Amino acid sequence: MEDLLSNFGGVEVTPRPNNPHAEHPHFALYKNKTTGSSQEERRKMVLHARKEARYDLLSLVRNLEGESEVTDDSEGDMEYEEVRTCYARPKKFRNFLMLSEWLVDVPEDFASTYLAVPCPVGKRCLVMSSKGRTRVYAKSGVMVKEFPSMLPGGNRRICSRGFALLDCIWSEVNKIYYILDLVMWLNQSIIECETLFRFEWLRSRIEEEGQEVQEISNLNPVKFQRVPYYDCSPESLQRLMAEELPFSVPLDGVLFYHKESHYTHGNTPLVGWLKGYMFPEILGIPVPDSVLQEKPLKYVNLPSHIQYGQQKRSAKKSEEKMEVASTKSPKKNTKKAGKNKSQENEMEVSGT
Amino acid sequence: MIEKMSLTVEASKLLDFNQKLDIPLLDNVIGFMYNGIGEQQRIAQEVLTTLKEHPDAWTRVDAILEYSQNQQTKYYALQILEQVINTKWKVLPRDQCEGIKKYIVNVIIKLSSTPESLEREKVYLNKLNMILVQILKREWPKNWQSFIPDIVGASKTNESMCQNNMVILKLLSEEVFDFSTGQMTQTKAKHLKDTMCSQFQQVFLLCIFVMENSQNPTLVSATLETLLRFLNWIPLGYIFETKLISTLIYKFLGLPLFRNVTLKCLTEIAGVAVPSYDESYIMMFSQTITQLQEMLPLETNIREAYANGQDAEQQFIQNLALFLCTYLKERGSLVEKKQLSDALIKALQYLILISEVDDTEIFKICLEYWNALASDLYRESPFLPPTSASPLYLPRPNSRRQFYQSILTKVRALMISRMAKPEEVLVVENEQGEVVREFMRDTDSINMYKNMRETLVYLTHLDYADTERIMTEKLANQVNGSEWSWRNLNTLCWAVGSISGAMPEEDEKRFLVIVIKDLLGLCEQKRGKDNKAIIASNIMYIVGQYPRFLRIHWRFLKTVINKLFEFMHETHDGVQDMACDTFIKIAQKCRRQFVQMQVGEAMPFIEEILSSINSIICDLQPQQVHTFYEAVGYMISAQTDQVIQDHLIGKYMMLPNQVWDEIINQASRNVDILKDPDVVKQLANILKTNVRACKALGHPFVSQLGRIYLDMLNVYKVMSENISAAIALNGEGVTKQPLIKSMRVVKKETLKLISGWVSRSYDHTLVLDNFIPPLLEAVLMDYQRTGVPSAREPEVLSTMATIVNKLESHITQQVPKIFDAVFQCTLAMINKDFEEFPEHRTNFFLLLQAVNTHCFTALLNIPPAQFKLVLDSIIWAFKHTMRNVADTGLQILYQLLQNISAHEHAASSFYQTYYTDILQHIFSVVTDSSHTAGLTMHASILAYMFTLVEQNRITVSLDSANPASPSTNNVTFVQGFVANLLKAAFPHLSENQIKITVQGMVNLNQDIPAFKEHLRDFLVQIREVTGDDDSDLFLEEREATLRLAQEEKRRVQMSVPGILNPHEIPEDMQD
Repeated sequence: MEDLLSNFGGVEVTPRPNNPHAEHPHFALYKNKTTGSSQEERRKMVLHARKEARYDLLSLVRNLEGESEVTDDSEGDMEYEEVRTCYARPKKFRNFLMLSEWLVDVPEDFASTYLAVPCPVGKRCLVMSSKGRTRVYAKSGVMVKEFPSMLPGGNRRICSRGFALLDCIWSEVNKIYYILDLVMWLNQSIIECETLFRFEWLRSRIEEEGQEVQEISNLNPVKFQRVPYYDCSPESLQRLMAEELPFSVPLDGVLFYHKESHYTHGNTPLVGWLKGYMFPEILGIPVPDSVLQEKPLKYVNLPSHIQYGQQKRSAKKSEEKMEVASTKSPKKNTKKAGKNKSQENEMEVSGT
Repeated sequence: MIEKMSLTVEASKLLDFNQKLDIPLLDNVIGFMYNGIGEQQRIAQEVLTTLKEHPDAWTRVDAILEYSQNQQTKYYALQILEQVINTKWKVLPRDQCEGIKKYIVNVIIKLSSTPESLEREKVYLNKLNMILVQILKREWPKNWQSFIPDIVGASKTNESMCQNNMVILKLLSEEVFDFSTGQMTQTKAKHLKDTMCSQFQQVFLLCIFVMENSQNPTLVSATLETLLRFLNWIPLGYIFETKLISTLIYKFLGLPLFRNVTLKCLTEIAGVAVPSYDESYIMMFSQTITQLQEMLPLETNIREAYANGQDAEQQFIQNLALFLCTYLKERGSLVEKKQLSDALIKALQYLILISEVDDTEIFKICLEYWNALASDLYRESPFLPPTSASPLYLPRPNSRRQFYQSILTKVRALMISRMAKPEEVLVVENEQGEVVREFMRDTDSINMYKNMRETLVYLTHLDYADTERIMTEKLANQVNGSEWSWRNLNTLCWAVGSISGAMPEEDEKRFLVIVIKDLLGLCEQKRGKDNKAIIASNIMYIVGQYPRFLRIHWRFLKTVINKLFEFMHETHDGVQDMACDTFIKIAQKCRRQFVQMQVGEAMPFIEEILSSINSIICDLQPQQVHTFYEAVGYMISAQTDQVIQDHLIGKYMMLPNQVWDEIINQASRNVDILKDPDVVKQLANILKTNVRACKALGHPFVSQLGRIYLDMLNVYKVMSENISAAIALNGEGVTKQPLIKSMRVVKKETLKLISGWVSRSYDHTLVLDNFIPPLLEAVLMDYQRTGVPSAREPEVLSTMATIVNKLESHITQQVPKIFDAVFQCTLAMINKDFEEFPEHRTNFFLLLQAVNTHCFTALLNIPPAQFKLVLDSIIWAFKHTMRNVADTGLQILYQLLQNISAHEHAASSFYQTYYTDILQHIFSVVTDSSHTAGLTMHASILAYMFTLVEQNRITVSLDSANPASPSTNNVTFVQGFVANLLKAAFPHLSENQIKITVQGMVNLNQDIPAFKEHLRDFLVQIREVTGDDDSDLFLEEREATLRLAQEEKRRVQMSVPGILNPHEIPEDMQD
């Protein structure tokens, strides 16, 4: 029965290690098969493979109106070929968005190589403005909305002013598209630019040319608003969690972008995801009690599952905890070690 | 143009019956009719139709047949003739009849006397044969006593004529025995059948003679075909006390040319319901099986043979399946008893082989038998031993189960490898080999699934260890790859899912764990999203099929649910749907598990779901979100503590309520926001979510409904005003616009939510006091005020009907108010024709029905003028050709008649005013051929009305001309009234016919089926002009039957003390 439970957790259709829609392996009751935690290995592999694969987004976007021209059906059979995994060509906009994994292995140089973006609660979507209209696509590529906007080419009046492609979160409650990331602005694709550049470009475009998209008007019936990014030094992150949020809806979690990552499609180990209450455990960064309160009750209740840990190791507990939190080298994470570690982690949590 | 003119002029000559018919011209016109185009063809058709309908047209038939060279023209002539025979035969002068008859017979004889002409004129001859049979139905036996000897005698002339005569006999047999219902009166059909049986010997001898002596294959074929039609009615002696069966088996079964028809004959014989002649049946079985082995050795791969076979060979396999299944089903026990186990096993082996054929129809035939066999064996002793290991319960060596064991194992494997797709599986492989979401419901395969599932369940009960063994083996072959394919995996998993509950619980648990473990391994082993999607959805299907297992393994259940939540973010085709559908299935079956505190948990799981609902559903499409909400609703409905439940509901509806409140807030500042397309769509979506939540929660949904109720009604009013304004401004075409459409969706969903909740509520007072008044005020007023009929929502009517049905008499007080608002304006919409506003129509009458059933006093209290409107609308209803409306109308009327008889005072005036009216209208629909579907209901109503007068339950005189006459005269009056009615409507019926019809209606009014048959006979009669000669309607026999029925009725009445008036009781029974 125990086997059954742990195997069941491993069932997936689209391979997605450290899937943020499942429990964080660190906190999970049953160890997910794929959490041998090769996360850091995979990061390196992707960064390396990136150089070899190129793909022309502009041509894809230009051809979108004559859809038949986009005939890439090779999607199904390219499992685990790392080159393809990081540059899988989307069928139109299906699986276009860059998605995260749970942040499991925290690299030593985390503070200097990552950028943090707080995420509001809402629906992830891709916004494309072109040829006089603005369209919103869900993760599955389904078009969910269409309206005018002041984004480049986003309404009839400026229909000849090129395209823009934005990675957003739609907040139903206050009717705002929060812009997380920028893929294309005024015909210029920055899909193959590194994160820091994309974020800076986004900031400058919105500040210099995007005043009108932040205001409601006849040609721009819904607001767009940029989400600021933060560097990942412990102080900066602590401040991010403690101070008032840059948006008026609740915080869903925080995305961690690797600075060198390009904009890729589907899940990537180069973007990590954590809930606020996980900060102390994973990053060793304290958060206010109000954030900790969101922690599901079940995580407090782990003692009842104590049988999954190995009791004799309990002596080393506090030591290990420090290591996991900040200093542990990802290289040491062989499969075996990772497994033991997460077992211990359960014990640790049970102690808190 | 000129051509057209001339065609018209020329063609009209055809219609002049003073001239001789111009045959070449007719040929021409027919040519235009078949080969012409446009205007030309239209004119030709017009002329021909007029000619055909001319009462004297038939007089031209002989000339046409004689001189025309055109097949199509001859065919046309025969159509004219057929029409005359069917409707006016009786009124034609006798000599004309004889003339036609002789003429047709001569033509047939001429054409069939040589094999060449027989072959050449096949189609023409067939039509002639058909006409001869139509004549026979009227002439034989009375005016043509010698027909059977004639035809048998003529058959001996030569073989081709014999062959055609066989066809005629076949047609006659079909007309008399297979299609006589509704075409002939019952008595006449019986008379023809009797005649045919009594004269059958000659025909039979002819058949046997041909079968034994003829060398002509087409003739023999025709004879066998004819014999096949005879077999289901001829006296049994001909079948069993002659050499017929042996001849069939030994002479014809082995010949490829005849084996199909021979097998059909044998099947027909096998299916005869007769308890005796066991010996013949035994012989027939063993001989057939022996013959079969020579023709089709048991080693044949029938599956392949079928796939590569010709049409006739495929037919043979199908006929063989039919024969074996029919025989074994009817006579299986006989064969078992007679120790023919060898032949029986062979027959079953054939059937197994045939079941493997890749053809759905053939498989269905076999499946029916396997199902019957399995259920029969199971019912024999349904209780299984507690464990199969116990030696006490080993099947006895001679038991039937033991005998069938080896066969059943094969059937199990067969069922498992061919399992049909269950309804709830949505991820399928399409014709292009892609894995996609299924959209169409395939009812055929759903039915197949049900039958196969039933069979497999019986088979599992008979020996679950064997089922388990086969399934485990097949699963192992999936894992090791030897049988891996999507289809094989699917059928296997569907089979596993379909036997849920058929095994003892402990075994089931053990088995299930193995299955799931293997499938999980398989999922990990296979690469590619399509593969994984198929495996994952199969796992989900199986898991969802075993709620018994889930309920006792909480941690497993929780893992499954979490995995489903994960799949709700999966973008691969169909997986999200499968996840949502499995989720709702599990939620329904295991709802309690989610609200209880489980061991090792900090809180009930529902709390966890509710607190993360936002991130669970964020990637789902709207309709998937609705399914999700319904599922969670089922869980919450399992919480019995009302306080906790209300708290859960609050949390559950938080997301939609948040958006709702925001919109309402904005709208209160600026109502124009409700014209924004996105806002309207959002409202519709929120309401749909509410509808689904209400469906799952039932009455407790009241806390949520109360929260949004008044706002919702206000939104309803605003939407309605917006729509009306838009129509006023832009005309009715505007209703096609997306925005207006979605506004209507908001209105419809509002009504759906209200009627959905009311129908599930269980506190009448609460509903009446708090929810009904605002509803009536908002919705009804709006309905009435809406100026454009098409903008009125038909759902208003159905909602009112639902409310009346639910609250029953409690709502009686409000009924006048409801009627005031909806009655007149709806009636004005639907009383112009029978088609416009079909939904309003249906719902209007449903509302009327609801009021009539539950709030009858409200109907009684409305003013007479309005009551007349009600009754008129009911009559209007049952005159519809829309089936559902007509049915509703008849039901209302029947119910109304019964209701009103309980209110004596109202009843009298009702009968006086409406009785004859209703009678008249009912007769008008009875005799209208487009209403035949409602005949049973017509019969019931008429019978009831006749009973009313006969039992003297109408205490006033119905005769308006003679109001003072005693009510006991009513029977005579009504009879006279009906007789006059019928006479006026059908002047071609004779006095006698009408008298007997009316008499029958009174005598048979206690026996609805007989009454219906009586009506049906009457309907046959009105189609035919009989003139004075009504002798072959067998009116005397009919009268005799009616007299018997009358006596029987009286006898029954007498046996119950007090039923008859003292003065009606015969003398000798009095003290």
